[in-house]
Amino acid sequence: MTRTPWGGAALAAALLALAVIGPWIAPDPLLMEAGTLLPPSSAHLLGTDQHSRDVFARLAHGARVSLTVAGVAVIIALVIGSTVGVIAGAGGSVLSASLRRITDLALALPRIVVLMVLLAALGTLPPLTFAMIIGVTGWPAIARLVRGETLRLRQAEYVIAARALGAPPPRVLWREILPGALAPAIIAATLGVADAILLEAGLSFLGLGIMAPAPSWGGMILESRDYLHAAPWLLLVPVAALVAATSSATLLGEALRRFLQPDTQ
Amino acid sequence: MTGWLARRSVDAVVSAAAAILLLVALVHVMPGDPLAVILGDRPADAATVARLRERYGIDRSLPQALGDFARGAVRGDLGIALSEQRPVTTVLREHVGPTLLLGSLTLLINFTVGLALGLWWALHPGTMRSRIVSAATVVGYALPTFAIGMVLVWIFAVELGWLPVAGSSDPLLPADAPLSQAVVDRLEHLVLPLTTMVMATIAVPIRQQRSAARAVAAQPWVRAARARGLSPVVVAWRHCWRPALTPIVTLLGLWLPMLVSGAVLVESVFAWPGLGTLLAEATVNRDVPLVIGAGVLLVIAVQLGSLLADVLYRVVDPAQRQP
Amino acid sequence: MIQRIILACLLGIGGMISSATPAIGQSNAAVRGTVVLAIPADVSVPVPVVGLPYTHVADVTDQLFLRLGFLKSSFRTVGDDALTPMLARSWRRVDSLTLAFELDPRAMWHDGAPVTTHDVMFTWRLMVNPAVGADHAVIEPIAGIDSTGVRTFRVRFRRAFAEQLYLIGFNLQPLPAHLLERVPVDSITTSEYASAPVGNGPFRFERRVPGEFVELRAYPAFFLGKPTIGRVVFRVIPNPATRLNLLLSGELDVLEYAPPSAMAQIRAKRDLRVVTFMSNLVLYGRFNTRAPGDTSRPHPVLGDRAVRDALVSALDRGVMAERIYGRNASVPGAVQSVSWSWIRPVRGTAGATSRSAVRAALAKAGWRDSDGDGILDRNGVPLRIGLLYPETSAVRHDFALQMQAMWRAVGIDAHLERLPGPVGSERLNAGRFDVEMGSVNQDASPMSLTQSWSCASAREARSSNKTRWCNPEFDRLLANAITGKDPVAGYRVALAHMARETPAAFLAAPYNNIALHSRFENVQVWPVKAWTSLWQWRVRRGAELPRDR
Repeated sequence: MTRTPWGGAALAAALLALAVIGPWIAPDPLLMEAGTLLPPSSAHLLGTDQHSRDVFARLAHGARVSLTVAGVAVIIALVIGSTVGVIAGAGGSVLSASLRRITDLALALPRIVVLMVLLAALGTLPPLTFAMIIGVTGWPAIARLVRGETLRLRQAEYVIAARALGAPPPRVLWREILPGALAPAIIAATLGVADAILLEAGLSFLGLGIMAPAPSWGGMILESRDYLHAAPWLLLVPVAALVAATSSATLLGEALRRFLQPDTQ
Repeated sequence: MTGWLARRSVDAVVSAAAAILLLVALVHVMPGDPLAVILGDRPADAATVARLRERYGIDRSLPQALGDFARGAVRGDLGIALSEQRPVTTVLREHVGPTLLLGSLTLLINFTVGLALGLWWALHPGTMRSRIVSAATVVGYALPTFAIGMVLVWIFAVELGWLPVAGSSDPLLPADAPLSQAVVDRLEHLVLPLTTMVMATIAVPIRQQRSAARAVAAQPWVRAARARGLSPVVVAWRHCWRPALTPIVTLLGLWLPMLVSGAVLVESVFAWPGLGTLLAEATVNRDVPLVIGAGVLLVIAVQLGSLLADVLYRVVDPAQRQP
Repeated sequence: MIQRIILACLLGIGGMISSATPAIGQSNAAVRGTVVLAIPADVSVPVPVVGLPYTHVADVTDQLFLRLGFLKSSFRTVGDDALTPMLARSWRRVDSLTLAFELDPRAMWHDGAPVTTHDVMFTWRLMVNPAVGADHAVIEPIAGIDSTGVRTFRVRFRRAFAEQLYLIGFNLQPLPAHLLERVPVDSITTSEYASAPVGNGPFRFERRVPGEFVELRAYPAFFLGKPTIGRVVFRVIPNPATRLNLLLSGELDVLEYAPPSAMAQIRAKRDLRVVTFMSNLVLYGRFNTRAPGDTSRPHPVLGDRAVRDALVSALDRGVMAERIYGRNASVPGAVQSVSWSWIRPVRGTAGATSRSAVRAALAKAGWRDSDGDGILDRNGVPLRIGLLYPETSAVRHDFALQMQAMWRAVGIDAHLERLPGPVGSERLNAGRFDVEMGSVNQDASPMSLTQSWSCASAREARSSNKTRWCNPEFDRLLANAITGKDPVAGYRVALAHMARETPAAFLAAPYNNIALHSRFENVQVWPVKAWTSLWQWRVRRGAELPRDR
C-alpha cells in the first residue's frame, strides 16, 4: 500500500470533500434540540452528543476547522522555515550566522513547552490565530532541514558551475539552490500536516485548543471523554477522522518523497 | 576529537542558557494573575496582596527577574512554586523519577523492538506480513496518543479489570511491602502508559531503520555478499546493521522532544505523577517559577540528547570526523 | 423539590442521631476499613491556615485538624446553639460582644501534647499575619482573643450579630504552637512539619507520595470516640473522567457529584450505590455592571435592567439544569445553594418566555435586527456578549454552550471566553468581561454575601464582586439581616430583593450525588466540609474487601 500514492490521495480527497461539501449537507452543528447522546440512526448518521448536537455535522464542520488549521500552520512554517534555512545556509554574512543561532535556539526549547506557555497566556483562540501559532512554532525544524540541504547543494557541481560562470550569489541562491533545497522541506511539510493535526488535538485535550463552539476534532475527542461509557461513538468518530487525515498526509508525504527523491529509497 | 567535543559542549551550554533566558522572558510577559493560585476565591486586602507579591517575587521588572533568576540558578535555587508553596527544586525532584522511568523504557523498547522490526521489514519486502507492518506503522503514527490511552483504559482497566486505571503505584500497598510486590505493582501500573507511549512513537524508528537498511542493502558489497550465498539474516547482521545506525543516532537526538510531548499527554491520561502533568498544571496555573523550573530541566535534557547524538554520530560514522 | 429538601434534612438528622452513639465494642482491636477518595490536585502542604485555600486541601486537613465546633444537621449558622462541640467542650455568652470558650481537656495532639489556649492564641496571631493571607471576612469582625486560663479563652467581637459563634467556632482550626512557634511564618510551608503534620483530629498523617496520594490512619485515642474507619487514602486524580473510571473499576470508593450521564453505568454495578446529600454549590452567569475596560461607566448593554431581564427570560433554565444535572438540581432565584435551605428558598422561573416576547422586550430597549443578519443590533452595534469562565470547568462550559444556543435563538450573539484560570481572573479583576460564569461553593453563612455582593466589595480591587454590583437597598437589607433580631427572615428578604434586581442569570443549585461502594454504613456527607463525619463511617460486617483488613 505504500507503493502507490493512490491510497493516500483517495483518503485525502474524501476528507477534503467532507470538509468542503459536508457542512452544506449536514445540519447545524450548534443546534441543541435533538436529544442527548442518541446512538447513530437515519436522522443522525453518527448520533448526537451530550448537548444534543448532531455528531456528523460537527465532524464535517470540524474537518473544515482542523484541516484549515493544519494547512495554514504548515504553509506558515514552510515559508518562514525555508526562507530562514536558505539564508542561514548561504553563509558568509552576519545575517546568516545569526539566523543559524536563532534556529538552534528555537530548537533548544521543546515546541510543546512553548505552545503550552503561549496558549496558557492567550487562552483558547479562534481557529486562524491558533493555526498561526502552530505555524510560527513549527518553522525551526524546517529551517534546519533546508539549511542542511543548502549547505550540501552549495558543493553540488551544477551550483559550482553556475558560480564559476559569474552568476551573482543571490541569483544562485534563488535559481539554483532554493528549488533543490525545497524538496525535502515540502516532504517534511506534508508530514507536518499530520503533526499539526495531532498537535491541535493534543492541545485541545489539555484544554488549550480552539475556542468553542468551533468544532475541531481534538475538541470533540476532549469532550467525549466523560461519555466514553454512555456514548463511545463520540470518541470513535473523531478519532477515525483524525487517523484518516493523518495517515493520508503521511502516505502522500512518502509518495512525494519517492517522486522527488527516488534515490533515497 | 577532544577539541571538537569542547567546542560542541560550549555550544550546547550557550544554547541552553539562551533558551532558558528566553523562556524566563516569555513566561514573564505572560498575562494572568499568579496570586489567583494562592488566594483562590478569597478576597484579600492590600497589605496581604503586597506581602504575597513580595514573597513570591511577582512585581519585578524583566531585567530584575532575569537577574534574580540567574543569581538563584547559580546557587541551585529556582524559587518557590506557588501552587505547591515549596521550593521548585524539591517539587521537580519529586516528579522527575516517574517521567524518567516511563521515558527510558519507551526509548528502550523503541530502539530494540522498533529497530528489529524495521530490519526485518527491510529484509522481507513485498510479503503479506510486511504489508501489515507497513499499514500498522502508518496508523500507529496517525493515532493521537491520548486517544490510544483512553481506549486502552476503557478496555483493559474498566471493562476487563485486568490492569489499574491510573497512577504509578497502588496506594493500598503498604509502604513496607516486600520489594518483589512493589516491583510487580509498579509493572502493572506501567503496562498501559508504556503501551500507549510505544504505540504512538514506534512507527518512526521502524520506518527509519527500514529505509536505512534498504539503502545499505542496495550497496554493491551487500549484493556481493548475498551472491556468495550468505543468508539474508547473516548479511543483515554483518553488513547492514552498522551503517544503518547513522540515521538512528540522528533520530536519538531528536527523540527527547518527542518523548516530552508524548509524556505530557500520556501522563495526563493516566494521572502519572511525572513532569508532564506537573508542567501542564503549572502552565495553566501560571505558576511562573515552576514552569521555568520544569522548562529548564527539559531544555537541559534536549541539549544533552543532541550532544550525545552528535558524539555517537562520530563514533558510528568515521566519515563525519572531518572538520 | 421541597420534599427533596426535607428528605435531605432528614438524612442529615439521621446521620447526626446515629453519630451521637459512636462506635462500640471493638476498643482494643486495630481499626479496620479503608476509604479511597479522589482529590483533583495534590495537597503538598496539608495544614490549615497556611495551606492553599481550596476545597480539596480542606478535604484532607479537616481529617487531621478539628474545629472548635461543627454545624448541626440543618446547617443553620444562626444563634449560640448553632454548633455541636468538637475541640471546644463548651461555650457561654459573656455579653453581646464576647464569647467564652473552654477546650475539651481530653483533646490531644497526635504527639501526645494537650491542646491548650496557647495553641488557639498562636493560630489567631498567624491568621492576622498578612503573610498568611487568611480570609478577611473571618478576621475582620473579631476584635481579638484573650487567654483566660490553660484551656479557656474569650473572643471579643467588633459588633453584635447572631452568627458570632459560627464565625469563630467553625472557622478556627488550631495548629500546634509547641511545634511551630520557632518556625518563621514564611518557612512554615517548607518546614519539616508541613511535610508530616501533627494534628488533633480522628486521623493522623501517615504518608504522602507526591502527585499520587495522601494516606491517613485512624488515631485510636481520638477523644470523641475511636474512629470506625482505619485508613483514608486521598488519590490525586485531576481528570473527572479518570475519577469515574477508577470508581467503575473498583479502585475508588467514593465519587462526589456523580455525573448524570454515568448514572446508568454506576447503577449497573452491584457494589455501588448513589446517595443524595445537600450541597453548597450554586452556578450563575453574573452580568458585569460596568463597561469592560472602563469601570467608571455603566455597561453599555448589561447596564440596562430590561435587557438583563430579557436575557434571563430567554433561557430555559429548567431544561439546562436537567440536561446537566439530571433531576438533581433546582433553579434558584438568587445566589442560594441547597445548604442555605434553612432560609426559605427563593425560586427562579424554570421555563423560558416565548421567543417573540423576548424579542419584543429587547426591541423596546432598542435592539432590533435592522441589517437582517439574524443578530440584533442598535445604532449599528451588534448585540454581542462574552461568557467568561476557566477552561478547567466542564460544568460551566456545558452551561455556557447551552446559554449560547438559547440566546442565539433570539438573536443574541454570545461568544465563549474559556480562559486559563489566572488569565481569566486577571480579566475579571480588571473588569474586562461581560458575563462571569461562576460556580461558587458557598460559605455556610450568608454573611459571606458582603464579600461578593455589597457596594463596599464593588469598590475593592481584588474582591470577589467582579461585576461590581452595587445595590444600596440590598446592602441595607443584608446588614439588617446580619445584625437584626431575625436573621433567617432577614436573609430571605435580602435574597428576594436580589432576585428582583436580576444581577445574574442564576442557573442551578445542585444536590451532591455521591456514588459510593455499598459496603459502607452510617454514611454522612456534609456541604462545605464534605468528609467531617468520615471517621464514623463503618464497613458492613461480612462485606469487607481485602483492602479493609
